[in-house]
Amino acid sequence: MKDTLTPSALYQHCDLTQLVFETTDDLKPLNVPLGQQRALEAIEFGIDIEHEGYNLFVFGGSGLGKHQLVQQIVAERAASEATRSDWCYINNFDDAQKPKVLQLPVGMGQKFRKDMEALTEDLLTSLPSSFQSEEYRNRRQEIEGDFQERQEQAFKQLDKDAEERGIAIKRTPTGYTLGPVIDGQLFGPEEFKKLPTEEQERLEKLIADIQIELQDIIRDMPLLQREHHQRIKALNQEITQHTVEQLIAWIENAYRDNTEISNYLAAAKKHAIENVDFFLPNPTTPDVEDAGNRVAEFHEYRVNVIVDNTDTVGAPVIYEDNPTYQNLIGRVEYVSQMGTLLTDFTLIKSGALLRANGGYLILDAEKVLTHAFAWEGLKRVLKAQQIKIESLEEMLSLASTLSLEPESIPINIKVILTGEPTLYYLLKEYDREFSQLFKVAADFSQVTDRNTDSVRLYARLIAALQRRNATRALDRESVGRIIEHASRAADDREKLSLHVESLTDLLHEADYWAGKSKRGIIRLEDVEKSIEKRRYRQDKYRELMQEQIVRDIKFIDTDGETIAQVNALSVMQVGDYSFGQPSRITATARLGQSGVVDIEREVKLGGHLHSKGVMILSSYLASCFAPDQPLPLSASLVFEQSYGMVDGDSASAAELCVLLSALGHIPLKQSLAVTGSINQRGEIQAIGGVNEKIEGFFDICHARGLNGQQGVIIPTANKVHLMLNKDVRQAVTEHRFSIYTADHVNDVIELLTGQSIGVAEPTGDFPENSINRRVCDRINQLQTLHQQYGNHTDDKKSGTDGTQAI
Amino acid sequence: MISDAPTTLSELVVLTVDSESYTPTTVDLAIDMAASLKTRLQALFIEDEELLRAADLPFTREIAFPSAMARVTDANIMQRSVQTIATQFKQYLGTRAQASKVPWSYDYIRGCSRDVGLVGKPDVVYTIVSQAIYHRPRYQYRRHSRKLLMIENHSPHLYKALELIVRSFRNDPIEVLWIKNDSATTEPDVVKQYPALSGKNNLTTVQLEHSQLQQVVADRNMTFDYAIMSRNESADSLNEIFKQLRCPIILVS
Repeated sequence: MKDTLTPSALYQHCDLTQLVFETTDDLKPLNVPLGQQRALEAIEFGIDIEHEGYNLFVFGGSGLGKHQLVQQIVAERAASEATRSDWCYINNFDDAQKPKVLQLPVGMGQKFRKDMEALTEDLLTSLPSSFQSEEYRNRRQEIEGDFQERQEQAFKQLDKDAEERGIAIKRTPTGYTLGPVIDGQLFGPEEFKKLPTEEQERLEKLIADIQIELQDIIRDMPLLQREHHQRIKALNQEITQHTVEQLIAWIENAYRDNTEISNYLAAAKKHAIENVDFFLPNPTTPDVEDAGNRVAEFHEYRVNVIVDNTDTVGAPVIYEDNPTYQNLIGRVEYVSQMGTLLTDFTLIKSGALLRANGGYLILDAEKVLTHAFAWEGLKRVLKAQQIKIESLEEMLSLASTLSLEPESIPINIKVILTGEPTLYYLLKEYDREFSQLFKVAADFSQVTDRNTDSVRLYARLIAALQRRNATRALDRESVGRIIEHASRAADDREKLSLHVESLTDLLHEADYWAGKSKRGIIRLEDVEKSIEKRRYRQDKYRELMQEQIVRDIKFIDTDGETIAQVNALSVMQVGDYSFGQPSRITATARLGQSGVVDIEREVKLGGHLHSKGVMILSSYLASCFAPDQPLPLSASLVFEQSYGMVDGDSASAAELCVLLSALGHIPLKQSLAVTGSINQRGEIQAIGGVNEKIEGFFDICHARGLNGQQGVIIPTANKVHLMLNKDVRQAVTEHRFSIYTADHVNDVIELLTGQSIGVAEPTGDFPENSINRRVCDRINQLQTLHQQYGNHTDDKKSGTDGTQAI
Repeated sequence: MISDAPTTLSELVVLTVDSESYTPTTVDLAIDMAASLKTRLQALFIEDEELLRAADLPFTREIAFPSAMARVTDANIMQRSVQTIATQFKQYLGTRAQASKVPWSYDYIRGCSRDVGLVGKPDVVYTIVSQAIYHRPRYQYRRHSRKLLMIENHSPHLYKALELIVRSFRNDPIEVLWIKNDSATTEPDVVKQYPALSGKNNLTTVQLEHSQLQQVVADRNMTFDYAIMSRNESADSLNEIFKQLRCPIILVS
């Protein structure tokens, strides 16, 4: 059945009687998401449930306000929850490569860090003082004196004994030597030779004996030195222990309830006592006043507070805008020192997962997936329920630098990913772990039903956005226009678009135009101007395309009749702006066996959906006109002057009509354009972008001059999608342009030809001069010809040159 | 003689060193003295002829410190070792003198350090005769408590020498064994004689009669960091002191 639409069917006006307010200032802002009940329930469920793996994936088209809503809900929930813990890394005095972790009550991390700094400063100040005390100096002097005495005494005694026996001990550049002495003078070789042999032998033996004694004394020196060193060390430790115990007592007392800190302090105390030299001033910075500056050098005693929740109210809510592996997991940084990369526990930095520990982490799924190893890192943490901070280079074994193995930190976190639906379904399909880790999906709707209630709520949504964005209030008419625009954006007169971002942009722009007009509130004309100007800003490409047609560079007829030629309609997308434009489809039909050839497909410019449409129409043609016989047909279809990809099946109705026209030599009206897909029974099915398509053809006709014959044939099912612009509606009202609906391809061909399709008589024949009869006759003719050629006619072998176009 | 010093200065500080007694600390003291007096420093490195003679004995061995290994040596080997020390001495001396802007000269002579030091010249203010301090490593010459032997003779140069030495000891405890001059009728007032010592808490003084000098010098348990005395001491006394003491001696003209 075909129908001509009235102006009222082309647009669904907003009933302003439903809007009971003067301006949006009178409205209570809508603080719950409109039309997102399903997603809202899913988010609340996902946040509430505490079992492992119940993380959320919130998905929907961009601009629906997913992120904002998630943050709002999570922030409200987190505020009512208890703040969790502070996390610190501290030195492991047993193995510095494996820093230990401390979980502390909120606020204690910073306090402990400051206390440790104060302790270090105390040690740096007090220990040197202890070592300058009278007590220490005297006791050390005793040890030093004793050592020197013992060292020198041994030599002195030997020196004396040797002298008494006429032997002198002389110091040489590298040691000692001995020689016989007479009258205070050492013997030379000549004097020595003059001595009697017995005397020579006696002296030689005497020197050898003293030499052995000297060697014994020298050999004992290291033992003496070791004993001296040990005594000094013991004294140092005794002095240090006393001082350290005094200084550390207050901090031990302050943290005595915390076993881990107590253990750490015990280890720190032991370390300080054993390494007192660290605290003594070095010769270049001997001043005690320098202690404050030196605290920074004492990494061993520092506390690295990697998560400080002091200023966090409730559970932490973290949104990581740049979710790289390091920003998520944390990292171990290095410092370059003399060309060597060094690190310690103070260079461990927390990632978003750790900062959100005990709370919520919101991430953009696409960003996580596009950063190397971030997704794998996130999954590993969620599976293990703990974070092990390690550098990426180490994880991948890319660097052999000595690094750290920080103690793992247990986590309890709810991760909320936001993203596009495609991403969700791809992960669901291809990542086995995804389903185990993100068990709750919150699917945001793009549209909501348009009814009295939702219209009123939409008005409140506009009021909420107006206040949130601090724009001027909107009057009733302008709100009504925005609601109509939301239906147009939804491509459905019975729906409203929930694209909050676009709505916000429209408010900003309307507010701008109201300001330009020096109005205190936003009126209808401001909204209209915003819509018009936005379209104008993006309309350059559409205008260029239209100009090509109007100047007959691209061939589109808008009047007259032509055989095997029809106007189809397509939608072009440029960024987020789409517009319709007509395309000429032509067909040829001749004797042959190739069936219907889709030229777009042959040259790989046709998409799968378009090919499907062509195959459906081929099937319809065969079943309709040659159900019991072969169809010896070689036909071709092409989108003329199309140089890009063609996809979708919305032109299949037009393609069938042009094919029938080619077969039956039936002229088609060029004043009409057709859109709609067909099924194998010839029924016309709904297509997308109906408004843009109608407006696209209307614009061409309008530019050339409307003659009252022009119009567009659309599927009846698309009636509910009509939200046409004012110009089209005006032309239809004035009968200068028409919109037809069709249920079946027969309706379309009748409208295009102005002739009857022809219903089969009981004999199976179609009425004379009907469209079907003409097509049937031509097919019969082809079959006869086919039989005449018999097996000799091989369409494929004869090729194109040997066949005649029909 | 090697020298880069202007020769217009009339007074001298003389430093005599041999391979046995050279320590950088003694060089530092000599430089400080010369700088303080604005005089030239004459450095004499003595190649100890006794040592070389002893090294030529057929059974002589050198006992290395601290390894205690005995190795065969002779005069040539010993001389090369001595010259190595002399080179080190000269390099250190040059560096320090240049830094302190002290004019200096250097001589390498053969003889006996003690004998060379005892030879007095009219223009010499101080003669520092470096003598070995028992078995202390050459480059770690330091002990906690310092001990000085001071033989009084009322010379202002004597006090100046004391001042320089005390300054070089910084805050170390210092014990001065003060041998009174025979002619002194009253107890020497150290602080009065030397006001700069008044603020020194780390300085203690033990005063002894001059007659006790020989006993002090002969006591082998008594070791000093420095001895300061006048060249006017009797020759016998000086000889005995030089023979007995094992520390650098500063002879004041």
